[in-house]
Amino acid sequence: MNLTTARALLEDARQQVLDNTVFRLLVILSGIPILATFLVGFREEHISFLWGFKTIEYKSILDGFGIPGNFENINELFIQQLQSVAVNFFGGSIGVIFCIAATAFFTPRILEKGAADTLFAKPVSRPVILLSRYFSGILFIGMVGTVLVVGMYLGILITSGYNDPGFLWGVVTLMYLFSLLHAFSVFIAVMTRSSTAAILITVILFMISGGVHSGWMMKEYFTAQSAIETLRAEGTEDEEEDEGSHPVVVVLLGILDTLHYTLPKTSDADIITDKLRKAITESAPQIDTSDGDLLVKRAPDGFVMKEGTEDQLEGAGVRWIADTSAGEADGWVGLRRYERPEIEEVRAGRTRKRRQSSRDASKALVEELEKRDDLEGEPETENRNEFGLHTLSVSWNSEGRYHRRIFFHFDRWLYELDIDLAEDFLPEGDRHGWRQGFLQAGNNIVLGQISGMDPGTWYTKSFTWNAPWKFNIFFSIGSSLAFALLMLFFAWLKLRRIDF
Amino acid sequence: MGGDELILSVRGLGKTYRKGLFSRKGFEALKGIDLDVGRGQVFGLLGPNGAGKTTLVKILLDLVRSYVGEARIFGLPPKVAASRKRVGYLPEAHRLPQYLTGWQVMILFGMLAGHDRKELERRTGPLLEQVGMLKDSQRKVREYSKGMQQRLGLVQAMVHDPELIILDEPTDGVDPVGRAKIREMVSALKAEGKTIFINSHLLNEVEMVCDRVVILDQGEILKEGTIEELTPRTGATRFELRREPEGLESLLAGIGAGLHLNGRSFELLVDDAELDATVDALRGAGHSITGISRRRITLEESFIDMLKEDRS
Repeated sequence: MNLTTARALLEDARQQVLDNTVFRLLVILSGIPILATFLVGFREEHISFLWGFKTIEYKSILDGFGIPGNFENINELFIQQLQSVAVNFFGGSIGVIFCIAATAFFTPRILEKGAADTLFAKPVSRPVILLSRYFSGILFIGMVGTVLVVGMYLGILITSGYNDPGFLWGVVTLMYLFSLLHAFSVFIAVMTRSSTAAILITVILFMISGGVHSGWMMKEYFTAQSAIETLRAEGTEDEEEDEGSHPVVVVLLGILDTLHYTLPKTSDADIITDKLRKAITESAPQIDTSDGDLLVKRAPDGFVMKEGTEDQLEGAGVRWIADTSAGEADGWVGLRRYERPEIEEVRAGRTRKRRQSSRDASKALVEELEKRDDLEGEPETENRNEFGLHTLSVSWNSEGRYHRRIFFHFDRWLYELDIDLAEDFLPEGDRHGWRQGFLQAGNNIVLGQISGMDPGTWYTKSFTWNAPWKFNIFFSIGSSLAFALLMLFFAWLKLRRIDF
Repeated sequence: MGGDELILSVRGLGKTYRKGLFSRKGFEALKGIDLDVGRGQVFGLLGPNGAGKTTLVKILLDLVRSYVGEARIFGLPPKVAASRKRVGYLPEAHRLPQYLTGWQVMILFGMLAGHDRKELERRTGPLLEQVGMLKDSQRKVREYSKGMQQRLGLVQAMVHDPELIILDEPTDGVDPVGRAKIREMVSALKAEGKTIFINSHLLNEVEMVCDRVVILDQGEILKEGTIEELTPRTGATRFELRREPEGLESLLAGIGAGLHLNGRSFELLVDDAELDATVDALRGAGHSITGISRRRITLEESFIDMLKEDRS
């Protein structure tokens, strides 16, 4: 294919898209959320309508819903919800179904008697013509998506003063999602030469792939939860013998797995958009373990990670040092973890095994400290719930320094967070807020991927760029694209055999 | 046979359309055709419905695959896309992209044939003007009448200045004025040295423009030759008289054969010497002769006779 042919096919695709009534309708509908972003501004303190003509405080809205408290950056929350509704729901679900319907005839139409004779008699190979129809569809959603996403981005930037370049990824993921479905639509179109069949079967595939994904996600969620329950019950009275699953269940789960790994993972597109967006707007996390058990997003305020300690989580510990000229002498924060050892205890005359808890560890530390003679005063123990993270901490002073060791355990790991500060480095009254800012469980420090989370949130957390393959984003994209390529390959196989 | 340089040739070309995926039975559309078309010829392909004309054309243009035998255009097999670069094609019952304007169709198809846009822009105006479509060229194809679409289809086959133009039922749906225009265009193209391959049911159209003709029936070539060869003189001479003759059989007894009387005219198979004798006999009997003509068989008669003969 030479450049002239490519330009001709591209121009043809563009004209076909622009002439499409559904395309025009979708562009007009995209104007609604775009207009909303220009008319409604989500400022830091309030929502502003018509550039200040009327304003509403966030507090009054939250009070109206009975939500207490004061949230930081609440405007971001509102904006992200608006973006999510527009791109994920309007674009990614309803919009995609519209686009399937609007583009399904692209391929059957060129295979109709008369049209095929004119087109395929040209000195252009059949695969090139097939691909041009495929890319016409991608161009279709690319143009609708660009109008929607760029329009909203500009509206939010201008009226709300909120710059979120990561949101622009929405165009790419919309195109990605559609490229998977459109490949299937092209395949059905070539096989049946019917637009109706292409629309119906593709929409059914879209629904089935969503259903299979939900089913598979639930299966994995309960499998993971069950594994944790087993781990927790290990060596305790609650421990149960694994009886195995019924053969029918095993077969059904096998079918579910096969379908999940074979079909395009369309439901992952939303999450991929979110992850890509965060990759732009959020800095790389400080710690992100490969098993997905621990994520630490930011360093403690005023501290930076000490070089060479990044990989020491299960050794001497990751260490952050004060971002001052004195560095470690002013203060440091260390985090390490180790597998909770099994301990034996006698209760009601019975000996039983259980894993060490953070309470056990804190007790052991207190006993150790009490033996020392360099402490200024007694060590203090504190039992706290830091935004859902149950911690036990022991603090003490010695040699002009403030120490605090915070224990928390999760699944098989016991974590020790050490804080060591020069007494004059951080005023005592500020230490609590500073510590809380770092600990914010579920926000800055994310432990595990399952407990306390609904399956959707759990899957979103588990689904990362470096997760094991079944939760890996690259695998999801790769296997989905492989499906699309396979569909195009089958379409080509059929097309090369057609006698027009 | 064609001219010196072969533009198109087929040898032992056969095609069977199978019924169903595994069936060995099928419809044999072509049964080992041999055909050559030389440069600069206007070649007509005639045949009843289902004769295999369109299948032959589609094989040459790679629209129909899995055939037996050999087909070549410009010396290349049809599956080589480059073989179609110098070919313009107007399919029967074609359907042009409805979302494009007439002008855009011309540019698109010219570019698909690998031609530069600027060059196509230059050629498009005069071509559309030739078929009276220039003023409507900015309207969408879906707004065109059948005749307009046919005329546009015809010029799209010429927009890239092809050397071989294949026209499948070119006058289908075109009014008499339009048909005359198309004949003019074909003559002009022939004068430019283009090779034209016409597939048509309209025998008088073919008779008027073609140099050579092939008659195809049930997948086989019945006859191939020039128009002269396919429409021989019948040997019959037609005489037209001022008044209806009486006792003609006795008057012309012993002269020629096959007397066929029809009102004031009659036909008689005579040679040159017998022609003089007939004139003398008529004049001697006081008949006034208003016309004498040697009659040729028409292409249509030849075509029907051949089909009847073949099927009997």
